[in-house]
Amino acid sequence: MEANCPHNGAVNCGDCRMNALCLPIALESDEIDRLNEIVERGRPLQKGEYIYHAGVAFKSIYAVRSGAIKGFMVNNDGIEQVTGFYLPGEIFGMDGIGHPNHINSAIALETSAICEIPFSRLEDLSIQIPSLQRHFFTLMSREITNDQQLISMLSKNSAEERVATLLTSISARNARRHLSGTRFRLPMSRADIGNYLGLTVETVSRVFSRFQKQEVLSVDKKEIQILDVDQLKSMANT
Amino acid sequence: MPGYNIYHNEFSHLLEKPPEGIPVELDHKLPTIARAGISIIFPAVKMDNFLQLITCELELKNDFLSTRQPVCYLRLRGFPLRQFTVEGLTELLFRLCSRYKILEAGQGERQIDLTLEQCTSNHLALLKGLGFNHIHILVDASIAGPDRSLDPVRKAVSTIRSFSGFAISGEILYNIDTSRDYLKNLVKYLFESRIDEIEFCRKHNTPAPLEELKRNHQTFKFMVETLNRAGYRLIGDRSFKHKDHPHFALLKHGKLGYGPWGFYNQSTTEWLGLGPGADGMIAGYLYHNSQNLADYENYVRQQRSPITSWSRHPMVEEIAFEFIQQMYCKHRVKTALFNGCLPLLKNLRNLNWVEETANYCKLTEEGILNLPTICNLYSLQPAVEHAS
Repeated sequence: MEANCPHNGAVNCGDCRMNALCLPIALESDEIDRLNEIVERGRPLQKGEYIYHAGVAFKSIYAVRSGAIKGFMVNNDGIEQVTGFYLPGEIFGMDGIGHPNHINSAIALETSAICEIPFSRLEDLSIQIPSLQRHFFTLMSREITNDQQLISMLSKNSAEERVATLLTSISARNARRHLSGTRFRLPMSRADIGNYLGLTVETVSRVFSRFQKQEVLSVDKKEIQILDVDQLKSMANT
Repeated sequence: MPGYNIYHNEFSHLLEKPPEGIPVELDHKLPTIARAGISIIFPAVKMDNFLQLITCELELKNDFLSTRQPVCYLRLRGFPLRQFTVEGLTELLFRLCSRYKILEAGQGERQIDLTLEQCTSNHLALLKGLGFNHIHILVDASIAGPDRSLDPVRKAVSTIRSFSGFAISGEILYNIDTSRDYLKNLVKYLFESRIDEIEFCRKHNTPAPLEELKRNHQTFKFMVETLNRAGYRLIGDRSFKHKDHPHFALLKHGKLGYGPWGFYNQSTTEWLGLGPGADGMIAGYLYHNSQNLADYENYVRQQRSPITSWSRHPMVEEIAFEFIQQMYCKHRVKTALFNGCLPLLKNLRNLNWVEETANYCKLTEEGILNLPTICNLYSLQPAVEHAS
């Protein structure tokens, strides 16, 4: 396995391909080494494995190195509500920031590698590297803002607009990682997409079919190719 | 920017000059799980590294609240987004929530004051993600001519409404230059937008010439009439609440309280006040932070408490405190509370500020306009001080 491959548990922050996303500040190499020492990287998670459960104390934030993560909560009736999908280079776990405990759970949607950044250790390190903690709060603020913007946008639009918004968002996030923004594999099921967007599975499938007919998308199970980016963006109202 | 009136100085006369340190009784405070509130004052004038000051003050007041106490209210008053960047706000929430049991939306209130320009989609998305559920918008109507557009207010309200779950209240700052037509249109819009609480504050909290006071009173009277017609009722001296506002249910059950941090459910018995000029109430003792920005900063930077005064007695036993509670929440007090200071009652009657019914002294319209003055006069009575 390549030393800088994100699946590699021994990858260093300085070598990680995702560092431009989660560490876009100028740090000296010894500072990166010190950061690297506090980041906990366990073995890769298998599909369905939990990163944290709702109700556990909020002590860390997490960065996705590879794979995909689903955030969700379960209401009093036992019904699951998907709250977000997180892709490589993205930070998650901020649902605990305004609360003593996590209010959501996080689960791997496929084989995934995660970096855990414990806050208490980050705080200690920030005494030596003052810009570091501020950087993480900036990053968290941005992720929280993006999450809520997306949720707000999704909640008031038609089924077509919601699906188009989600696909546009995933496309833009892939592009940020220097991956194709027009051809990608959706890591989540249609049921998860429907749950997240507040649509039934049937409606999600119907919208995908309609988009195919309109030659906006080409869909092969989870493989997506955006054929008409402008049209998709205009449908998403973004 | 406006001399924003967040300092409810009617409480200041309840305090005495600072005793050294904290009351002895507080030293022996037993751990409590009483409900608590946190009120942070953010001044209008930008201060260097305000987040660091608040964080230090939190450390200095570490023992005031127990980590197990449910915090029902979190109120960020004044100009939070002038003192903090958005990441500063995230950090503050992280620090507060890691330390205290701050109740989530549905169980507790998290309120923040924003100017109209600060009601952007990005700010609101972050606030939503941080668990805020109440936006208090500040509308500076002090320079409003009759043809001033309502578009900035419309835009702010519509942006807030685009995120579900935010309660909205408004605070209108006025002065003698404020056009009545503008106010009328503004109130009409706020009412139509289902904003169920509107505070109406004179822009500068400094003594004004008599003529200016008179004109401000006329404007205020005009607002009372306009808002009454729109279905609002005045509580206290500046807060108009729609008849469906939950505070009326609290009032009906005798649970509505009033403090320097605003109206609240009386079951919340302890308040942690942070920031310059902030007030708090711990174990029944009311305290007041230095209002002078430089003094406040010096105290905190030197790791000294910025508290400049504590009440001598627990406020629950303080007659003057009870007087303010009743006057602000019900606009009347039992006449017996004037025993020992009957000359004051006589003066208030002569001024036509109160009228007597069977066992009560009730505020007149003129009295409501002078409510802070009445409370201050009452608090300064030697007999009241002695009785308490």
